[in-house]
Amino acid sequence: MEAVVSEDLVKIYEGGVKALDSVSLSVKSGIVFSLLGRNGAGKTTFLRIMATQLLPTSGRGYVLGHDIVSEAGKIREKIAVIPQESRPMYILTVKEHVKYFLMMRGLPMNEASQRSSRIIRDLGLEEYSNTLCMKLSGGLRRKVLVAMAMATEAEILFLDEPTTGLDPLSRRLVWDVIQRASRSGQTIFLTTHYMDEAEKISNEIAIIHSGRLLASGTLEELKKLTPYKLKAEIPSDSIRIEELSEYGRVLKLGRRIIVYMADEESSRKLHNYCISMRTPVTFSPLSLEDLFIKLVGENEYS
Amino acid sequence: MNIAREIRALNALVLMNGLKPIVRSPLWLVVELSFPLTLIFFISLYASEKAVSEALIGAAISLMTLSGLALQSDVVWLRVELKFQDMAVASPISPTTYMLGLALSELAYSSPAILLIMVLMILRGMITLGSIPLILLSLMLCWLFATSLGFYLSTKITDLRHIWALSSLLSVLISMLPPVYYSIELLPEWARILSLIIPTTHAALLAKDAVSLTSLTLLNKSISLTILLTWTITLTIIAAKRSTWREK
Repeated sequence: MEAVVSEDLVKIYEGGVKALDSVSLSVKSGIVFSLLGRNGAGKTTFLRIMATQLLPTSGRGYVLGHDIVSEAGKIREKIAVIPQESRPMYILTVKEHVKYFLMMRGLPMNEASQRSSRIIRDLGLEEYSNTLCMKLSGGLRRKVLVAMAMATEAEILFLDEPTTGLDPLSRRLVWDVIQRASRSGQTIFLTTHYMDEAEKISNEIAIIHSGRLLASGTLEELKKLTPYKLKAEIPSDSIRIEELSEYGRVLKLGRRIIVYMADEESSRKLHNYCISMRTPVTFSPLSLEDLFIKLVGENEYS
Repeated sequence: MNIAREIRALNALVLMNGLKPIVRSPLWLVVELSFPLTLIFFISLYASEKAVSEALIGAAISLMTLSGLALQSDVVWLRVELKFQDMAVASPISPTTYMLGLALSELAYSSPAILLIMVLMILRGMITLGSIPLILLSLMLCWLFATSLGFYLSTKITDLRHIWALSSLLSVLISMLPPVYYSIELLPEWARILSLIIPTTHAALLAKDAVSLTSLTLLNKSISLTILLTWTITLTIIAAKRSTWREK
């Protein structure tokens, strides 16, 4: 079954800003799905529409088979959200946040208490359980919000940049919890700036730019969208950019030149050329970040 | 509607936005009490015993009204600053339960002050068993009216600074300026007529009548009750139907 489906979704805000331009997307149940995009690409708008917080201008959307406009009540029983830039209440403890949020969703106090203790332990927040949120660091506060959403055990979790501000270890703890939730059948729809996050925990990924969906699928499927398999990175001040085009597609990013290559033969030739020019070069397989830069970069400058 | 679930949601909101913050920051209880008690103190210095009794009734009505209006700031703060309302919208809680829960949490701040005012009224021999229903009805309608007004306005405003200004202005217009703390008879004719538009004037008239500070005819009492009810029902319907829950 499809967890989230959008058909030609359009959102035009008051003032005429087009945030979504005919976005059609489908997310299977029980997977971790990441929506990638630059700031202002339309990620949050899409998430908020599907999470029934915002009405679309046109198009259709379905969450677990329910229409996002006419059946929002049924959807809200089955989802939970962490909004971007949300903050906990400083005057409540970590446990109180999770427990009261569950009670607000209708859970009995005992069950809410047990569930909150469990998720607090899973997210490594045990030592802060009775600490007021005003005394927590920014990253820990973000983790409290993740705990609130996770504890709901909702069928779909919409997480808008859930790991922003977390240290690397905390990010991995959150990833673990997200993946565990997915293994137990929950669907996770998240937006993120972090390519490594999307690459590591997502089953499927979509890339959005200026309100338009550029690509969607598994990482392997996305990599097939480009003929390139390898990339080389060269400092831009050490070589003339025109001389590199015979080895592959060349992109200048600040002080770096990126060369995308289709095969190992091209990389061997480029390697020899760089040796002859006494220029440092680094080769690596194509990553999601490269794919993102290529797709978004092409759209940005085309 | 699952009543048990709604009660749990209300309980959660009262705990998170009312009782727990009060326990950790009890100074707010003093703040709630300071405004009406200061007014009563000044009135007691300059005016008669009857005026003090009127001010006590006014303080109770004012506290209930201000408690409802205080909802505005919290709703905007929870929505704009914390994004908590976004989490609530995408959950099974209804906007009415959310509004009521937050309104009850505001009442938790005002309750000790209202209780103290009531005790003072009892000590002064103002309250009899027979007067209690009308006093409670006036107070409840004031609270519901102000809560609905506060919630409706708060969902339309996106800047916390605007809501602070609006809240202060409404507090003056609804609970300070009209004849709530003082007798309507002190006003000139034109101001008296103007004050009758304001629902708190009628709440005060009814409550003062209940404790025999004024004597309303049955017709006047019915008119006051009708106006107060009309305001309350209209604003409750507007808050339920026209407040912005899901953004457009």
